[in-house]
Amino acid sequence: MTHIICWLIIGGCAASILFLHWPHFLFYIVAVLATLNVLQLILFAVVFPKISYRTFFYAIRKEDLLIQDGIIIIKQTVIPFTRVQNVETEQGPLLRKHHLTAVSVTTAAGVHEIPALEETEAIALRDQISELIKENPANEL
Amino acid sequence: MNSNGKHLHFFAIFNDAVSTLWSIIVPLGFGFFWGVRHLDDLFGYVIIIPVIILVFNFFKWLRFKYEFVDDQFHIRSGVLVRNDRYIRIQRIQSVQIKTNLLLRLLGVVQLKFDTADPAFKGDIVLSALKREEAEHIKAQVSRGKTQQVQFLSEEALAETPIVDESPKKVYALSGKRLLAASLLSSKIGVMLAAVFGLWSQADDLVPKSIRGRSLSYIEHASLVGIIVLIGFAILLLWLFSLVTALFRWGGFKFSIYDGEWRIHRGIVETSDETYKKDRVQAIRIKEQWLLQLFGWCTVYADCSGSIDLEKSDGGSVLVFPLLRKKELPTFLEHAIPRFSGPITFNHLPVRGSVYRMILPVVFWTSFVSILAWRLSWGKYAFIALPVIFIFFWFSYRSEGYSLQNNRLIFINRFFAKTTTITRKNHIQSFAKKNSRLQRRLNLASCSVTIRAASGKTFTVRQLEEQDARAIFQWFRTK
Repeated sequence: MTHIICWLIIGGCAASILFLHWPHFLFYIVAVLATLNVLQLILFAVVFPKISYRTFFYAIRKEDLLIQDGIIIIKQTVIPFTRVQNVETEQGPLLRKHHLTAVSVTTAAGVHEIPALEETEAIALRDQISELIKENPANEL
Repeated sequence: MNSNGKHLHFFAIFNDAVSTLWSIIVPLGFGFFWGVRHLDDLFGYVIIIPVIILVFNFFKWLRFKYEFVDDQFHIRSGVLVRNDRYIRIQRIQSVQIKTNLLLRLLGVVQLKFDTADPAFKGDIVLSALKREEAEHIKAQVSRGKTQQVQFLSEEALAETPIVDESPKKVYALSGKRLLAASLLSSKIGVMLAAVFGLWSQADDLVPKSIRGRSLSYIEHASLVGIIVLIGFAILLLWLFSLVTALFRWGGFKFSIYDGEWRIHRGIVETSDETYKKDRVQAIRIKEQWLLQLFGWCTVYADCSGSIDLEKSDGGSVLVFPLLRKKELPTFLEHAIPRFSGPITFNHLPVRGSVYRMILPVVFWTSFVSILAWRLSWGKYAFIALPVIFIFFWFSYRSEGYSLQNNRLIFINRFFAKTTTITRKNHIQSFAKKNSRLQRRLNLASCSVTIRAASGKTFTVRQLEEQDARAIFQWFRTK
């Protein structure tokens, strides 16, 4: 979305330079912006997904959920089941087409997401976590 | 414990109207000043607006009713969108009573309930009540809570809890300390910004005849004169902020009861706040530079549930404004034993600080280079460079962490040194981060998230990898 807006701004600037006699040095700025935008597109569409696919994993252990993600900075997050308040699954049209589901875990301090899992796997994970939550009820305060 | 539906005190209409008006007038005020000069008709609208607000608030008051229903507190509100809110008395964390100058003249107070609801759901505020009525509600809520507890643990009824109404310990802010606290932490920056804002509007506000004179005086004044004038203005501002700080913190009293804290503060605008001890998720000890120089510190607490965001500092509760650093252990021991203990810390590795220096060094060097390139005086900015580097280096070196049984201590510094103490059972989630370069250097960053008014994250950067892993393991094992 921001990408489209960026292109609109760049196009607008280029058009105004050509037709409205704006100062010519703006052209260089626009060119730099356009290059950066293309670079960003390449990075986010081609390079980053591969890396993040390789780094991402989640693990359910005895008492906590471990999620690792990141591209340059690798981040490992531990969420103890005692702190989990609810589990959600979500499926947009694109995910539905490919039989994928996103699972997110909510604690009192925020939401942690596992972006796309196989449908059956996601449902199994959801049930497993909700079962584990039941065993040790979150301490209410 | 039922009661009939009751209205607020009649004064609530005006009180709400004033606060609505205030929030509208302040941002639009300057715009109106500008507009009125051009459109005389606008004056009419300006007068109508308060009347509309007043009428609206009358209906709001008419609709707003509160009552006790069994073990629930029921509030009916909303003019256009009707809203019924039931709050289980058991779930009311604390009751707060406040006044300000306007309310005090009429012997009216404000009452606020703290619940575990997240902050965005809105606070439950009864905006104007007679003092007796407020005390009555407060008593009823606390009675309801103790009844419930007894009901829940009937077998433990033999040893009926003796409600101890006298505080265990009271810390009051003495006059000398009040003065020191106000002196050391007056917010001059905010004041300066306000004055500059006003100054830019001065053209519109000051009549032309006067303006011609005052401005011409400034134009003709010598440089020394202007400097003296500015110095005088700053002094005045500082005095003003000092006085506001005095009023805000005057009569500060922190009393420790069995399971709760009561904080009383303010001279003109007083507030009485009650916080349950078990709501506290972390203790923060903040040392501003000046405070640290004299060996003082300020104590904050991060609590779960709704917190009055305006009154507190960034969602944290101000526990005590000024405390000697050597008094701190005993203070914590009395106030909240589970967070107390020795505050030691492990230094972070030197190569971590070197790694962290990369960013400021690159940024400031390029910034100053650009200055030197574009501006004639820019080359003198290079003198500031070592100072900036030394500042960053020492602020990074003073950070640290420590792990003691169930307590985790993080020490951060940007300008002020902040020591955060939290416990394993208050940490909601834990994250360990490192980039490829960091892994090469055997470094990692850790952050813990606790449940405050909004989720709050504390981070300590560039630990030894194995230390980070140790904290990781510590958090995982029960």
